[in-house]
Amino acid sequence: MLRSKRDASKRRFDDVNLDSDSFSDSNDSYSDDETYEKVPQTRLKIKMKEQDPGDATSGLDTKVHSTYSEIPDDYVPDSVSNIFGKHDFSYLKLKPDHAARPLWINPEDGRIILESFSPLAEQAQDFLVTIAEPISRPSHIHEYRITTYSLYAAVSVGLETSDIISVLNRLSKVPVPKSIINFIHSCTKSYGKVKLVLKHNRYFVESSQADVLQMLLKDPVIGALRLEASEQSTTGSGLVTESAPKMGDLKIPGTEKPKEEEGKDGERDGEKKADEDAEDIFSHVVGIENDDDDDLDAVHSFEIAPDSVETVKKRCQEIDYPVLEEYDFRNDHGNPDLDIDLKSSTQIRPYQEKSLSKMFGNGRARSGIIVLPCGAGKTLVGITAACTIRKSVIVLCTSSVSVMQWRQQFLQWCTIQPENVAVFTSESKEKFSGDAGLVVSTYSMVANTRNRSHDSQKMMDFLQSREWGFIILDEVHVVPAAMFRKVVTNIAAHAKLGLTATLVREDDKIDDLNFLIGPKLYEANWMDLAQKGHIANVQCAEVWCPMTSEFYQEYLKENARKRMLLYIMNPSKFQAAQFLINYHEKRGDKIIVFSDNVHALKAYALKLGKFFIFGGTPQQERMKILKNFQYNDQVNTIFLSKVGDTSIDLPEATCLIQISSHYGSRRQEAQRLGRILRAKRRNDEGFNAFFYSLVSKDTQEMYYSTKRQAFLVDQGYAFKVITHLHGMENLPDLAYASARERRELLQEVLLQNEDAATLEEGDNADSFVGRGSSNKRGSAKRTTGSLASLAGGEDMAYIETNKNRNKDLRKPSKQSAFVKKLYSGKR
Amino acid sequence: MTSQFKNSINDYLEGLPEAVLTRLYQSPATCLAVFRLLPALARTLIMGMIFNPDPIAVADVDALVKPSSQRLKLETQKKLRLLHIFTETQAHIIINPTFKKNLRAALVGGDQNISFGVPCDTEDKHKVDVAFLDAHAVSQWEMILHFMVGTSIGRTPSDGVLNLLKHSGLMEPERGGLRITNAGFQFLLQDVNAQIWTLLLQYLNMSEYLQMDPVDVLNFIFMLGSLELGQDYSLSALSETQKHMLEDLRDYGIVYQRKASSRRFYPTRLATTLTSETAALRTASQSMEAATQDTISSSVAADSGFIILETNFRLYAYTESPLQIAVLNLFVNLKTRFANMVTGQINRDSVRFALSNGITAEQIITYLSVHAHPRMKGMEHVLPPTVVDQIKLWQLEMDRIRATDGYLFSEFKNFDEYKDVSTYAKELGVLLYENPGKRKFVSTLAGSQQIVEFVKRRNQKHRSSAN
Amino acid sequence: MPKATRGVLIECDPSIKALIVNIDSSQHNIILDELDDTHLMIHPSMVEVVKQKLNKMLAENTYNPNEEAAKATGK
Repeated sequence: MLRSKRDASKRRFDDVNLDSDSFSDSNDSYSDDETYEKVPQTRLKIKMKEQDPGDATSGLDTKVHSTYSEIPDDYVPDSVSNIFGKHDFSYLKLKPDHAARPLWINPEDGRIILESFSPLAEQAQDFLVTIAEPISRPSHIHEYRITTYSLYAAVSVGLETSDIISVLNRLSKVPVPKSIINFIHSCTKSYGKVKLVLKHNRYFVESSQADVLQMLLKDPVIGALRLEASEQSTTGSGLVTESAPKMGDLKIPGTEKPKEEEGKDGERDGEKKADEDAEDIFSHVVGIENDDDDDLDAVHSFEIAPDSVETVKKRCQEIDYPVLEEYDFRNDHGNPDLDIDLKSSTQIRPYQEKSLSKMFGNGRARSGIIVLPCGAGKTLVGITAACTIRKSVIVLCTSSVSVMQWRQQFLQWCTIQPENVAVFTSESKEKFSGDAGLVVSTYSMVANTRNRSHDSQKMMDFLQSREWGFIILDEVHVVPAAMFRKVVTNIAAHAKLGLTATLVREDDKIDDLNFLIGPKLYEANWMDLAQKGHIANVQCAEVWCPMTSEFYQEYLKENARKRMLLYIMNPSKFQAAQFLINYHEKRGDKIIVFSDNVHALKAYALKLGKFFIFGGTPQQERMKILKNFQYNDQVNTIFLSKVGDTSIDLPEATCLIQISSHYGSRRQEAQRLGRILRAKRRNDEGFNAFFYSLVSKDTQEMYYSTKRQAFLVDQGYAFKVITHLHGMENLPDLAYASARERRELLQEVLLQNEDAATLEEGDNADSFVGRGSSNKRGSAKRTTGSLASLAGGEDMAYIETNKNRNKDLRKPSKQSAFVKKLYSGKR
Repeated sequence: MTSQFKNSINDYLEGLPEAVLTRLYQSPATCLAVFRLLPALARTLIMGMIFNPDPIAVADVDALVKPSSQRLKLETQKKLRLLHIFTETQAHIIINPTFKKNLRAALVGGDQNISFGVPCDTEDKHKVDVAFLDAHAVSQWEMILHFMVGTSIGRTPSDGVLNLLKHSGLMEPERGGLRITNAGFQFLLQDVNAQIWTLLLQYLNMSEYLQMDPVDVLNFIFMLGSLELGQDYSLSALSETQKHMLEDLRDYGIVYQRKASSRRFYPTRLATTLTSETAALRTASQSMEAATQDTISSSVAADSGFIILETNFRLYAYTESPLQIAVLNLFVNLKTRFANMVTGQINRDSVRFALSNGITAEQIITYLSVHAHPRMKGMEHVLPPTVVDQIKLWQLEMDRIRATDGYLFSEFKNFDEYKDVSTYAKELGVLLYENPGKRKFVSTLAGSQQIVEFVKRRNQKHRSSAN
Repeated sequence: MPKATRGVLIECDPSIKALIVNIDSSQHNIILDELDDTHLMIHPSMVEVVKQKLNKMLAENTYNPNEEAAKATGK
């Protein structure tokens, strides 16, 4: 009899997608960081067991899947249950003291909802970051999700299945649902049980459970590779038994006290001791392992030959017992020590310390990935780790500029001597003297196997001929898996640390990383860091620029690529950019304007009379412009293309304006933001810095803009929408103020061919970071107006294109002419 | 929210003829209730006058009020005039003697006064306590709301209620049943006190058809507002009309009677808070929750706020009430439910759904603010400004086109003809749009006929003058 | 005698007008008269069609993570 306008059942949105934090977007015609080389790769992915009919447990792929219902028999759905369908978990009974517990657990998809204001919240957050993936962390309520990968990471840092479950139970408002318990069991059953340890220059397959090793030994592939133990066989099984590794007196440099004291970092000492009980569990489980316990734990191992390592690793993967790699550097007497320490003036921050404690928790070096927001000091984390391990270390970066940055920072923060630092780029091929040292290079130098110059080859020989204690992989998220495999197989390193700000990837290749480098060891909380002043507070805004009639009419007619050019070259956008630059320059801000599209970059910069840097800008020009930006108070705004994302040592800026960006890349948005996260100057609104994204209204750009912001929004940032810039119409010399000028601009834009709509890829000649698809497209069309043809090259292959760009840099070209013109005809 | 209904009941009262009002003012309880419904300045003025035997000079009143508040004073005086509480001569203001007498009686008390209800003097064999009354009120009231929002709880309100819902425009007939209207959706977002007044006012409006004396009805309503929760009252003091009303009031959960033939009734909290001044009136279900919960629930105890809205548009609501959940479902994309909390997201689709049902962005925002969790209320902005802005933007988006039926007039012989006809249309007030450059204009549908006539007449004139 | 055409006057912003013109360009049965940048006269029977199509086009420019996630899993 009664009907509201919409059918109530339609309201119920369909099942939550369980991989919703790794959107694969079919709209995205440019996939971020696609592999371009057709290198055959065996995906080193954990194969989840297919559901065993005899097995009462469950756990398919990454889904938490209940094979049987937990719903009690006396459950009666009420009048609103149909809104939620399967997601009505009101039958989970609240514990009597539920108000004092901070989290709910979703039995269907493993999501955890956390009250961040609860007394136990801080411990809960530490714990959850260790066992789950953070999904959203705004002001009050956070969400996490337990996945196979997050559990893998949890056991890698030493958590046991029972501990995980008991702590969850302690923190949860309802008893931990059976499906979750089963999921945790099934995931942790075989993960983290087997370690591959390098010590005394020998390789051991190790486990705390002898039966696991026995099982491995029974495997034909692995069993055959075992080396007979000559000395101490304490057990008849032929396994070596020792006591478990402990942190002991290992001191992480830069921290105030050795870790064997309190299991909490100094900041929180004595603060929230809301529950003694919980504290105990936490310090045992989450915090740094104490010396007091685990006296009785033993580990068993058998030895394998160094040559067999790859085979054993692969095989273990195949039989669902992936190995964790640990490097017992304190007992590595074969590799020469690198005598470096942090300088005494160098202090590391609590969150940096926390991340390192995950890496060195048991006295060995665990391989894995540390995730920290841009500007939060990832480099120092790498350097401190190197000073802990104190063996030869190699650092791989994405560009030659980053290489110089790392080198400079190593020299700045630790006691390494310049003669022990070697740089390997296309410009410089050094070696270090002495037995041990630091090499800094790029991924492309190391992975590129073709056409090496003689010097280059010698360098590679040098790198490949020795064992490296430690390899640091910077910006680990941009590197395609194929390249990684090459790097990892070319370089023999015992501990691997990946550093990144964003583990979100549009094409969902994160899983490969997990098994090439290691699990995620630590992930920091952006808002938390911002609140504590470690990174800047940023006011984010999206400025809506209406399209002019003529531009919009053309936009509606055009295809996708031309459309992009139209919405980027929208005259209102010019005006908005001009207004914002004017406004912020008056405030004394240093402004960077980003544009992925080079055509627009030049158009805007020239129109507004500002310097710009893009891929084709020669190195000296770049340095000159940047120096001016940093020190000259007449130069307060510069325009950057994608080079600015990674390839440039950017000085501090306090305002960022984005006029064109790479489709829906959330990583890029976060990275751009990172450019101003170092800003420390406060103004009275409480914001240190400003981030504007200019979008053309009613166009596809709005869609991409929102998508890009998704990651940051989930970290707690809010993008204010500005629909109107007050006073813009009154700006003197407003660009394109007359209809005639706008029409002319439109004509100009329409005359451009589609290449002008190309987004610039990682352009640094040394950078081999793949942006394959877009470039392939670029290479297929060689028409007048494109950069490559201007430079004279007509080759199709990606590598060849890079070579052309090198040529660009060296010979005087039309691009340089632009810049020269800019200097000479200065505004 | 509360101020909205006040305006309505005041509007209603101001529309009554003097004779009716004077009859109304024979009840001290009514005088007191009307008094409470008045704005502060009015109350101050009245208080200054009710114990004064003489009329007050206009000049004295002026002296009371700040010069900057002149307009307020004039509005107040006008209101009091319309309510026939004040009569004004050239220099004096006289207070309505009936009102004066009975308001005094109400304030000072003493006399046997049935207008405030007559408590029962006999013991109720089936006595009920406050907890029971709360539960009963909630159950009755929520049944109505559930019915409106479409959640099936197995019970339907009585015909009398359905009739009322229909007449009040909150629901409309549809294929043998009733369907909620836009006004109904808006109603659902109001707080319970405003909602009850909406229904009662409708009841008042209908009372004439029902052949009930509005004075009786009003007196009873105002009496209810003065009753004590937990006390049972006798029917002896009620008129026939008022006894009849009990039936309906039972249906709304405003009073409780064990059975229709009972000689006593209990007001519930919905009655006793009718004319209450407290701003933070809880919803009925929250009162009930607070009363029956023995565990500490910080979210409910001190404040009725239960919604957390984050900057990333996710929403977390601490509630077990199916009604609250159903109301949230009107504009939130709800996803997951736990025993004491539901979570979902506010997005373009969910807001558009609400907007297309006649709920406004302002109402959504107000609802969220009013019911915001105490933690939210402690912040500089109760709701995240970006979310508030976005909700408003989504509403703007809905309004991006305005469509009006009309006639396009074109192909005028010359500019003069165009000018004459369009000016005529403008003067008639039917011109929707004009474009002199193209010699076109658009008129309303209704106006087109007259324009055509005008054109004909004009052509006639021109033809005849040409001849 | 001037002409009087029955229709619906649409008032909107220039972008919306451009969108309606665009819709009409493939159907040719919507617009009676393009009055100016912000006004159009359209067929009375086409109002709902226009509103629906507009909503669809504008929705394409809106990113909704739930929808994306659902699309990705083919639900």
